[in-house]
Amino acid sequence: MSKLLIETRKVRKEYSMGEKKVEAIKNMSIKVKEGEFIAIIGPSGSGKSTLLHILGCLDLPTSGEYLYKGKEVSTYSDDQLSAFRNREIGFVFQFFYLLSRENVLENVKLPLLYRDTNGKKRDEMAIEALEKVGMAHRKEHLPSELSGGERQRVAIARALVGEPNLILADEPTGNLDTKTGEAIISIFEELSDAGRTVILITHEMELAEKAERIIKIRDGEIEGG
Amino acid sequence: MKRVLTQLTQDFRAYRMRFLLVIFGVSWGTIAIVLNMAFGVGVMTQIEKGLKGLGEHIGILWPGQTSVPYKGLGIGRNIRFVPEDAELLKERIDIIKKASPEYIHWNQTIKYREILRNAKVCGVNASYGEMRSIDAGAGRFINKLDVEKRRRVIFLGDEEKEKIFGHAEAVGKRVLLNGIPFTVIGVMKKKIQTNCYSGNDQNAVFIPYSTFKTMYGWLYINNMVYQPVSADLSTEAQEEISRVLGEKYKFDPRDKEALGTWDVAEQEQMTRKISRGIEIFLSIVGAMTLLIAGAAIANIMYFIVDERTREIGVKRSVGATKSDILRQFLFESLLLSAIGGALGLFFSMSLVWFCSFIPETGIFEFIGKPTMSYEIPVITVIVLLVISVFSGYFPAKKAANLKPVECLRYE
Repeated sequence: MSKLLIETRKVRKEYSMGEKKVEAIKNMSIKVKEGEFIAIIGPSGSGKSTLLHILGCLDLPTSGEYLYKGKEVSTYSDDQLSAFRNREIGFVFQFFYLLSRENVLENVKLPLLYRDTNGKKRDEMAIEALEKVGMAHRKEHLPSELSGGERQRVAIARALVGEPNLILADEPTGNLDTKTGEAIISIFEELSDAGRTVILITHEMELAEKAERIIKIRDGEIEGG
Repeated sequence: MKRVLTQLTQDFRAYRMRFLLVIFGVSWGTIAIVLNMAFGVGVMTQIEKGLKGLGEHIGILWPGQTSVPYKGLGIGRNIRFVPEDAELLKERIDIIKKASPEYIHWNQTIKYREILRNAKVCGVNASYGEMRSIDAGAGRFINKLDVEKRRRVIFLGDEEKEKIFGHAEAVGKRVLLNGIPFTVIGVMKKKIQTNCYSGNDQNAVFIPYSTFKTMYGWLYINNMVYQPVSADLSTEAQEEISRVLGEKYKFDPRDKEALGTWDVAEQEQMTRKISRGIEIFLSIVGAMTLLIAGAAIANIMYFIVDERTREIGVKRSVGATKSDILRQFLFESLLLSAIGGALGLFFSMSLVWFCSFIPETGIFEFIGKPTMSYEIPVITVIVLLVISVFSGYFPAKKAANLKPVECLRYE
């Protein structure tokens, strides 16, 4: 029985849009065990991205508890949250979000710049991560010289390089054709097999079915638990 | 460091025109502040020179008329000084080490071969030259022996010498002063004199006062020149002089009319304050220009922060702290102003250097030339640093305080 990695208890997130308050997430309680591969599925505007941001500590919940490895993250200071993201989490975004002016290697190295890793070790780790996604041969290229699928592979390498426990992927295939998308998903499957916890957000059932568990959400609530 | 430099070169490529304008602005501001300060130093130096031209913290005394009854004596008595009074001041007042009588006689003919000139003749003693900053460019000034032996020696103002001798050597030549032969012993070194009480020294000729007295038979001198040992003692010296001379000539030491005094030390202080004021004013004007450049830096940095919002989000999501982001932007703006400042310093210092080749004539004789001092680059760098830290800090702070999640959503 593997340990519990994530537990949220009645997490709520409210945004104010002008005077109107929008409840993006309502009382959401989920549990994720270490090594699980979970897909969160739901239509756009259902709150799945907000949930991912909260899980990734990019945003804090309005109310409720978020325990990571049994520790409440809302007690962390801003710097501690930064360190937490750096050590524990690897993000993969729909639009890749690579730094357009840096080459592939520099992009992958980025998370290592914010921790005490020396220059040589950084290069080694980045190349290793690139090898995992089969992109080591393009390390000198700029993102603009790569195809969509290749860019996403680089982005995954960036998420992996710091050896985080949790990979959070927000519609990673949303901007790719079906075939490329499948290839990307298979990378996540491999990562999961290797023991990493993966949370994948998607709105395509077909992709979600590759995960071990599916959480369906709608209007900020979990559908059918 | 290398990363920031790379970043800067990349940004430079992306925002070339904006960066060039900012660098231009900073350079311009730097040039303004440096040149203004250099100009201020130039003016100050020139004013100092001009003040020195008359004499440093000297005082000039004129005899007057009593206006207050004193010891049974009525008002309206004329006071007159004899040459020996200069010695009296030195003897009786400790803080006065130098004093000279001065006879002045206008329009005396000086003849050398076929050249005939009318000039002002001054009869003075040996210390007069030192007090009045009259240096010998050739030969020497009048000395004690000249005075004692009533020698017929003459010292020429440089312009008077030019008019009589042109470029030819004057020292050792004989001239006729009112038909009496005199030997030229020296010529004044050219000096800047912005103050005078009876014409500029360059147009005068000087002879020992004893010779003057014998030649013209004047009992009374026109005025006296004295110098207290230091500028701070000028007021004290004035009081002492009134006391000593009041005792001798029986007038009330508080009688302002009996004794006319021009205390140059007082004026020196005033003039120094004014020129210091001018210098500060000019520096402030320069600093203001730089402030505008600072606003330009802030402006472009805000723009860059906006442009890079997404990038900030990505960096924050992989673990960059607020201070990582702050440092990145702050350093970039500092580097930007460092480039501008260095260019500005280089240009303005070169300009000042070029100015040093302009001959000091015409207008430059009065306002001087822009001059570098050690303080100028130091002050400039400090002002530049303060302004660029301020103008870089706020955009950088904005960048650091952006919420990561909002950065990622930013379109």
